[in-house]
Amino acid sequence: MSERNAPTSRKVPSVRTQVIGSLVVAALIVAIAIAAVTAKIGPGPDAREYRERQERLEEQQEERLELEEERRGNGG
Amino acid sequence: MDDWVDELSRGNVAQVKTVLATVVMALAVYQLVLMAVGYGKIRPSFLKPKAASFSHRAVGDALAAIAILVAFMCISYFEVGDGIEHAADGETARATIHVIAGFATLGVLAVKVIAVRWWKRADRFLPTIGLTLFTLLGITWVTSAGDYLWGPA
Repeated sequence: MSERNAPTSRKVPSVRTQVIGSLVVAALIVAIAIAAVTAKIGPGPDAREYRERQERLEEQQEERLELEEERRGNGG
Repeated sequence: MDDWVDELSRGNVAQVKTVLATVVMALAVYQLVLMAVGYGKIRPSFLKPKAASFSHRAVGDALAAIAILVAFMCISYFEVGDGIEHAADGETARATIHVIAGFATLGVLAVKVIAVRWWKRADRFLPTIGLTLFTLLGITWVTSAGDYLWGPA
């Protein structure tokens, strides 16, 4: 039997398996992209830090408003 | 709206946008490979054109959703005019190219979705539309996330 006519031993996976496999590859690409970029830019502040920062900003804003009102009260 | 975007990204709008844009770009490269298989330009033994085309559609739907989210974050938080006006010295050209390429990307993405779903006669233009979309995505990514990651500090 010539090599060309020899039966192939490798079975081609079904279409469903091929689709699932290619979608798994897509998910892996997403995971690698997220990991690589996060490693490059570093983690951001966590939820607690963010809330504290927001509270600090709000406090500063309130203080500024109070000062402005006081100034207006003294002036008028 | 920008407060909501700020809260959603916990104050890391640029960073979250960079991660999502990079995911979009990485998936766009994968989409190119899938369609090369779909059109029979590459013939791997483990993936047939039919399966590659089906996966291309599924990944494309996810990619479009992420791209629209990134565009929404960008426009609502940085705004078009402000983005260009407040760009650092020497960065105005980059910001302008980014805005133009970004809007062109959204336009071509809309055309591609219409061509795939409703405008069947445009089927023969799909490879050209796809390659244009990929190029525009690349320009948009290089002028924003790419610059953020590897540009001058």
